Amino acid sequence: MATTPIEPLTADAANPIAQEENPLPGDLAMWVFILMELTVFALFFFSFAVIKRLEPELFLLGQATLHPAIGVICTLALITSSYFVALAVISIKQSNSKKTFFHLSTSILVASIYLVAKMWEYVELGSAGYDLSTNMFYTFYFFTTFFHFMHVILGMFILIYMAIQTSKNTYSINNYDGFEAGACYWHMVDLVWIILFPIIYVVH
Amino acid sequence: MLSPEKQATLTWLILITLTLISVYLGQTMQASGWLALAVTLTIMVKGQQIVDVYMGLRRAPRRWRALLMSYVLLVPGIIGLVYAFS
Repeated sequence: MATTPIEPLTADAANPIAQEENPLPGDLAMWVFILMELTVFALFFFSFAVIKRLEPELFLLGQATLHPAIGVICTLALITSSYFVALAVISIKQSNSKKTFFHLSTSILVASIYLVAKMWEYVELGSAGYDLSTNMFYTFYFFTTFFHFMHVILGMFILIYMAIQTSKNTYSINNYDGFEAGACYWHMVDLVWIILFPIIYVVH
Repeated sequence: MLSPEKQATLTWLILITLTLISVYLGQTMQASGWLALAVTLTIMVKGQQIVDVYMGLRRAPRRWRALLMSYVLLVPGIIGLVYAFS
């Protein structure tokens, strides 16, 4: 008697949710880069936590010289900037270049609040006599936050490039991988700050 | 189901609210393991929102989402434990 071969169930066939999977947003190279960046930042975070564990008094004294309001302003600015980038991605998928340009410009403008606030804090700490060599807390504080600061600047250049390309109608409903890749980089910068902010300013 | 714009706005509101809650807790709670735990939880939820909604990985290939989600859960989790027991 002939038997009907039973087709093996693939993961996709077994799980209806898997059939709704979308491709990875942006491009693979950007995601590999994002993972590498996140790994480096994770090492900084762990180092910071270890210092807190080894030198709690030093950490508390250092933390007391920071400005929590600046930390809050930076966080709100980056979260809001990320929100406008998310709206820009939605707009570009609707082929609405005008709206995309507006969202990107707003995002860049809001992100610049972070730059001004962070620079103000660096100047304040510098004029109070604190720098990289003061003690281990400040070494890690300046190094980690400045490393993140440089990523914000790079991310803003990427957003400016995306805005220029949008104004030239380079992106379309069929061509927005580069746009998504740039947006994901910016969200990575936001994600890193979401973790860094409470470590430095909130938990005492 | 929410439109993409409304979903992005909802995420923005969640991120802002959790940020303000964590700041409030930091200002009002005594330094303790509970504070570290509460702040760690806010970071995890915020991270999940960014990964799923802003980065658009909710429906992305599962391995990529799992990679990013493990980052936003493990990294704050480990740091939270160090803070809680220091």
